[in-house]
Amino acid sequence: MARYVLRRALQSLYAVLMLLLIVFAMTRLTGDPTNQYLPLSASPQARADFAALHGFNDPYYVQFIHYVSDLAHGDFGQSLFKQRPAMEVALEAFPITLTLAFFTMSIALVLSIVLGSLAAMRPNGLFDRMISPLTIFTASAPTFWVALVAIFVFAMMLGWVPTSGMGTPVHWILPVCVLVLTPLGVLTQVVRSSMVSSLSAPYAKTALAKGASDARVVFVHALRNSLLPLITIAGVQATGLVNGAVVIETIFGFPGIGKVMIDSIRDRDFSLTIACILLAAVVVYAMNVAIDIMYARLDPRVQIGGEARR
Amino acid sequence: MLSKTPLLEIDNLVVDFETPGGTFNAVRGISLCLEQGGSHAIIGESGSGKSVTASAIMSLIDSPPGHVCGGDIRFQGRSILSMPRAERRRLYGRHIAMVFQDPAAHLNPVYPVGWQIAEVCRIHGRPAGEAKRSAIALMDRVGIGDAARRYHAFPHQFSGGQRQRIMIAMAMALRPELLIADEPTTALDVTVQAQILELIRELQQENGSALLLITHDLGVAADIARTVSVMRRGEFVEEGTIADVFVAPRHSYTQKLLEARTSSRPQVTTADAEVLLEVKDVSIDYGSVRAVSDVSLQLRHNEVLCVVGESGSGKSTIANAILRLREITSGSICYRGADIHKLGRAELDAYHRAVQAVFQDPFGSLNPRMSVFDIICEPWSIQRSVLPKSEWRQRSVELMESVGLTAGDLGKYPSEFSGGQRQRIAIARALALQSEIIVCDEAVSALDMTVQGQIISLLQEIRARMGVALLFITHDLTLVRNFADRVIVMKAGEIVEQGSTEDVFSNPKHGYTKMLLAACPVPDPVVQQERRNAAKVASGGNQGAHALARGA
Amino acid sequence: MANRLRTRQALGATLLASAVVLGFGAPALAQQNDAITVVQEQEPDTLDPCELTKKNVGMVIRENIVETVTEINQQTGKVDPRLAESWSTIDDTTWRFKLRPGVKFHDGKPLNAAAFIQAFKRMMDPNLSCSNRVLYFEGMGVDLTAVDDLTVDVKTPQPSPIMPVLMSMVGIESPATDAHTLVRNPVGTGPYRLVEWASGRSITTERNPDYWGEKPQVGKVTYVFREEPAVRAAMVANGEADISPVIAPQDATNKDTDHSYLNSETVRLRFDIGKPPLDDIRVREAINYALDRQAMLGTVFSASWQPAKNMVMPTINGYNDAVPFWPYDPDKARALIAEARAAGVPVDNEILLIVNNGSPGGTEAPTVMIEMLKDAGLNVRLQILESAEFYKFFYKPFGDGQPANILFESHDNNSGDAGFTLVGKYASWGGTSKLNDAEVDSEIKRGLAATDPERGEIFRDVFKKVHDMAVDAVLYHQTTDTRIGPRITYTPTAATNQELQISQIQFK
Repeated sequence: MARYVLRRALQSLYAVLMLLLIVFAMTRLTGDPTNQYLPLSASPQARADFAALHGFNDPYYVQFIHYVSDLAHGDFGQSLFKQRPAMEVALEAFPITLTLAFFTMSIALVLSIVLGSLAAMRPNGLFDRMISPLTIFTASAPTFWVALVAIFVFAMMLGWVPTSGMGTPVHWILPVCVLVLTPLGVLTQVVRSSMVSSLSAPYAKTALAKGASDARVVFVHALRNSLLPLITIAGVQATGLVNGAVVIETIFGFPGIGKVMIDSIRDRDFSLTIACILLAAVVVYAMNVAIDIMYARLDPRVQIGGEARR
Repeated sequence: MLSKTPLLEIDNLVVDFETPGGTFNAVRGISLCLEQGGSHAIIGESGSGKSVTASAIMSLIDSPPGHVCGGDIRFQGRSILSMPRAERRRLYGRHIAMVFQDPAAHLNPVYPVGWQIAEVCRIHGRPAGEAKRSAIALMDRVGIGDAARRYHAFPHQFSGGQRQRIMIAMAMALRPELLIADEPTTALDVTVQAQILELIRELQQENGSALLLITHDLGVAADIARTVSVMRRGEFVEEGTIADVFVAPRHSYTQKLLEARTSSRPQVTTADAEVLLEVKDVSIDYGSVRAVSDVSLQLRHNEVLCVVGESGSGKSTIANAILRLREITSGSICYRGADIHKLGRAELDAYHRAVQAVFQDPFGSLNPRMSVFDIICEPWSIQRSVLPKSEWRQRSVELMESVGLTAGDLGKYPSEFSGGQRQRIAIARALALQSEIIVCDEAVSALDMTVQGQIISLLQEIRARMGVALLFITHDLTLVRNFADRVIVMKAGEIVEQGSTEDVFSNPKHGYTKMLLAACPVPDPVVQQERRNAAKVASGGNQGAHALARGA
Repeated sequence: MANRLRTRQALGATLLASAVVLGFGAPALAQQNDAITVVQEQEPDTLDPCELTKKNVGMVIRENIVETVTEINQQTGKVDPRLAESWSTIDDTTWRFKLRPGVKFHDGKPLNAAAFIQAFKRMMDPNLSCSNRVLYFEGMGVDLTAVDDLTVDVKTPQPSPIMPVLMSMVGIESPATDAHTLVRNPVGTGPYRLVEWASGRSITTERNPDYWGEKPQVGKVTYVFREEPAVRAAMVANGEADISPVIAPQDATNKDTDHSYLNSETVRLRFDIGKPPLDDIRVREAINYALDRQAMLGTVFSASWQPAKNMVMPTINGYNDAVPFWPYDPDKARALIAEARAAGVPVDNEILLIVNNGSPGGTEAPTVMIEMLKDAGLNVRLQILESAEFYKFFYKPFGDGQPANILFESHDNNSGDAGFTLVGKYASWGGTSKLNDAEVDSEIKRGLAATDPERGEIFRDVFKKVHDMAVDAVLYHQTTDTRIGPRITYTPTAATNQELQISQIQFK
């Protein structure tokens, strides 16, 4: 297992280097940050000085070499706007996003398994007919709109929760609830359809022939098989969340990584953009490894690292 | 037998399926009575309704679309159909158990096999520790070696035969009064099949269970059942003791079934014909595993050469090497004296034209998105020089007719055909380039018995009319007897015996050939009984069977 | 994109506004006694005193934590004392500032000439990217010397008559401030001192008990940050915040809490005056006559904006009220274009209307303007550009071969003096000026060297001159909407765009 993780890490190092090159090229192509950073009335001299100070006049390859050699020394550069080490800014924002993603995915997974399984037990039954349109709605409703409606109803009309902010646990309720809707909708549909096929699989008949109850067939025999597609899709959803739920972070004033990344792109704060992307790449790598390991745990036929489970 | 109440009574059972095309009457009023400890076989081809009958007993009919709409099923006098669900659940697994056809699919892939066996005991109220102990004992009893350790292994880590043993262990865990076995040995190699049947018989005797066997294989039925019902289109067309039905079949369908197995073949002499294909000392490695070792064979013009062996014997590997789908490690394969690995581009094209293939899976080998016309014309569109496009239609109609299909079928898609028809299409495609050799790799193994017979007749006819040579690869010895000119028997990558069909069958020299012949059930209960006893002696009795099973 | 954004905002505004109207605004978090919460658009990047002219920084620290040397009076446009008690000229190039005695920094150090000089030198250090220097002092060569403990002489190579105005941009921080990096913990002399900056969440300040001036009413301030304007408006309505200095115009629906004020920004169309057909004054006049400035208010621009005739607000020194508004006269516009065409001016040449993506008015405003110009007989095409591309047209050096264009721009001057505006927009050396007129240049130079009242007179003349030349089409003074909760009173001014003096806030 450890060898597998290490090998995947080495493989992803190459991917990260390529990513770095692409991102670096792209951030440089979007234009000189001088105009963005300095006020409109700054003199041409001030502009030139600023560009020279930050090396924006050097050829791109020189800038890249400087950057990579700094990286090799653990220096991710200075955030141009915040005047602080870029990685420090990114790392400060990250735990918030991770916490948000963790709660959201936990709730979405538990609920989607329960709802999807119940819907799959009687395909086209009453519950299924009720759940399917709902999941399609929550999976496709624009988050921005849902967030504002939620603030209107739960913060302003009912006064149950504050509009925004992240001071107390109560502050987390609304953003997590809004954020959970999309993955919940998507995952419930995944659970439902894979449960339907698992329940009609031959091994489900075997279980019935053993005298197993419906609940046992659903939650013991079919569920474990249905978790495989669920994990795949949940991984995609979680990756999206970890890379920042920008809209939610912006509306509710959660200073997460998504907001930092979007702001840094808008401000052409190169070092910060790249620091965020590197961090995201590491997390995506870790999640992929975790998903692979989970896959192997759930399905004995899956091998990781070329080591068959005997 | 104190009780007069039969163990199982099926009373005028009717099962319908709602399909988009209307109601399909799967079972049309069959009745059956099975005494305690009895063994009964329902014989029929796929679609005859025999498996639906078994599903009805187990309440496993998918509803919708299927539903029982008439009759009754009684177990020990109580109606299963009108029982509350909870009560029915107490019956299944404990008093009535079932062994399914395809153990690979019927075992849950994500749980250890031991857990799955123990689950039966736990569902019916045994404590977990006791359930585990009896699961290990059961695994040991059905011949899974090192049971305590293998308890934790998963289904995919077992062979097909072992998986069926596990299914049987699961079914027999609580010594049920009734065991239903639905095609328990289909898709297993012939020697494994014999072992599994033996195991079922032993366990049935040990536990005093009654057996209801569902099969399409007359040999299997003859091997294990005392009474038989022949089912066709949802009805029993003939019933009786196995001896009566096999010796003196009254219904024409039963007669036809029996004939399909015993028809004789036209004799063609090919001994001195030109050698088309010569395989010399060929070895093939899969990584570090030697799949084929020093195999040599010759295929002559217009000859039917059958290669027989169980899975893993290397017979399909040889076929793939001849088709150049797999590289050989050493040796040579010559076509009309020229090494096929040293051919120029034009010669290679000619070789690919001359050697065509028909594969086992008629579902997988035809592109579902291409019409039959496109499928048949595909070789011509690849080898442009063969036939001008203006003649494609004419020629494809001829080919379709020569394999017993019509010109009207050309516009259809593979999904609109049955398995046998698809195999006819595959044969038509193989004939499109006026090939000299057709390699048939388990070409009829997936088909029903009567359809098998039809396809074999077709191949014989084509051989006689078009003068092609057939390299026929199969695991089923009974097919070979009436069809092949020469037989090659392979085991573990080596040829153990070869010779004319007559010689091999009447005077087998190698022990393995003898065992294959003995293991193959014959649709004659008396003969089968004798052969079974002979096989037991030959392999050293039960223990020998278990030893074999461990290797299976 | 801009379109969708506006729709979104409009939707949010409607929802949240109706909540207020329906009286659902029950306070979720009751504020205790003398503490208030301010909800801002964006969290500041630093809190460094040398960045206090940057909006996000200034809103928190300017005149609250760090005080400036002088201060612009928003009512009169004059310069008031702050940390400097008085000032006077010694000679043409030297100003003498006398500091207020008895003032202490939050760390207990005294305010004196040395502290002033150190803070100024820190700001001028080219290794620190202080926006105060970049904006106002770059290349000026200012030299400060202490005369006594509270007196500083400020000497410049050239006469600098507006030095007292410039000193309103200079904050003085404690001499203990790190000289090498921009700081996040400013120590100044102001009525409030920093308690905590929980990065990403909030900034907290409290009343400075040792403040030299009048004791303000508010005891504690929490600054929070929400980018979404509908949420900021909702927070004040819900009682979670007491003031949101900036809300969206479409959210400003409650007369009791929402106030709009001139924010010192002015928008105009800049003409590419050197390129035909815009080199012809008849064409430039025609454009001014063709624009129906009144009709665009409340439709494509915010209804609270005010039509403008100078590029600065009325309170700015140099504003010329005698300049007439351009009337809407489409017939005259058509006639002028016809006349120019007859005189051989290539009026059919295509002119680009360059608009920065995301500027006020979205795509609708420029589209409407183009229709008006087409009606006059001009051939104008809309070009909406991302910032990086927009700046290539906006800033000098203007690339060779840029097509004749009209550029929609926004300009901000709350310094109290029109000098910056005139240089930037009309002098031949101005960074965003297309005009190259010797007479205007020399007038601007003369004005910059002069002191009031002569200075104001000269600037007024320049405004009149560029109006008569139809150098541009000055359009509107922009306004900002602010929402102030029921607990407090505060009167927003143009300075509210740059600072929020907590000491001006009172409880009801």
